[in-house]
Amino acid sequence: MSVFVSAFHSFAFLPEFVSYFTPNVALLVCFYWASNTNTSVSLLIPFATGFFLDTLFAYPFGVNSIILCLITYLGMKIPKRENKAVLRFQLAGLGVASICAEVLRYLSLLIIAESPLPSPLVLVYSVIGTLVTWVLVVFLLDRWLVSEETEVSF
Amino acid sequence: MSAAPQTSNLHTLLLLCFICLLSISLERFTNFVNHPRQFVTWVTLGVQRVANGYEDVLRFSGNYLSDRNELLERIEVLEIENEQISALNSQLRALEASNIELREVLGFRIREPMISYEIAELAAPLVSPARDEVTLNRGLAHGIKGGSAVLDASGVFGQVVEALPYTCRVLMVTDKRMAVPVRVERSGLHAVLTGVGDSKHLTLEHVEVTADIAEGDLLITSGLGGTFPYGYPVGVVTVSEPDQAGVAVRVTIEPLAELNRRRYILILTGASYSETAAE
Repeated sequence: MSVFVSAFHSFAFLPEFVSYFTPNVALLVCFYWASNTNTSVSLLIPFATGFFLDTLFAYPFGVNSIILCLITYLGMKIPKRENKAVLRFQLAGLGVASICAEVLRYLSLLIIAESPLPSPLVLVYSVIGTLVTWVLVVFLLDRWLVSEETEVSF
Repeated sequence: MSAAPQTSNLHTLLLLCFICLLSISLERFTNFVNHPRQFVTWVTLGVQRVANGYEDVLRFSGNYLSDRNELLERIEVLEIENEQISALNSQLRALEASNIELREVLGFRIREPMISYEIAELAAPLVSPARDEVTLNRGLAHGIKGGSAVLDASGVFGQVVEALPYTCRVLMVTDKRMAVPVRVERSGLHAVLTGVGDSKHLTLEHVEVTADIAEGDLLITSGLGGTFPYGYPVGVVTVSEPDQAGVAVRVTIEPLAELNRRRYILILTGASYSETAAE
């Protein structure tokens, strides 16, 4: 699903700078799946997904796989969401993780000797886009889902 | 109790990271991962086609809903354009013949371009907003090589940076990593054109303040470097003004290629010149 969403280019009518804020959807999906759901998590799925993203975004074959495996592992280790403090902790953890992910992807471009590299500001935009999307997911979509579950349980 | 699965997860993570690092190293130093990568590319292209299928649906429904009169009008316009292009083509052939004749008279070397094209379709749009690259549906199997020049009907589009068995990645002329040797058609000034990462602007490097360049000038490929054959239009100068220090000119160019709008693109599969000395 994350590959599908990442492959979607429907915002051609928007100004060019908007595309710089495109969130790292695969990273968000893996982190959410590992940290906030009770289903069992297999590292093989982010591993395979990473290879698809590598071909999609033309990165060295394996870079996104490492990132997604590490993010999923981090998500498995991070405390489950129970109160606001944990929510903030998760947001901070995701922020650091997405910065590390962008830096790793940026450095991987050095490996394939593509120079000059794009401006490092692009990393910042992407991290901002990812974190804003995460906040929207947690505070809007997720709350809606929780409230629905609560209604059912009553 | 939970220690065992955690250790197992850690072991799996380490193993997968090792495989990834091995894959990156193999890709960097060998061609070993080309085929697995090509297989994944096929699957990914399928996903991209589905994800962006709405464009095809819109195009198809637009064509389907066009009425007969509209289609006839379009055919008429295309026929007129075709006639004009044919006339220009024959004029061009006559000029070319005359040029060769004059070169022969002057004793110059005759350069006969031998250029072959492969028509490719855009398989995937921009890979990332930070990198102006697209994927085309032609690759090594069709004679495409890394470094091949890519053109569209309006001008220079870019250059192939990676040729896989059935697809290739093209760096667009607007990318920061791209540099094209160009010539100002009016004055004959040579310069190097580079991308700035903006799809609507290009720039010229190291142009002195005394250089003969003005707004509206057409830039064509100079043929230097051997990648792009001579004479293809690249862009039009939109801004030409001295920089703050007053020693160089800041030149902004609008690319002529329709970078985000073309579906079919030409890849030069063989561009060489047979040089024969005129007798």
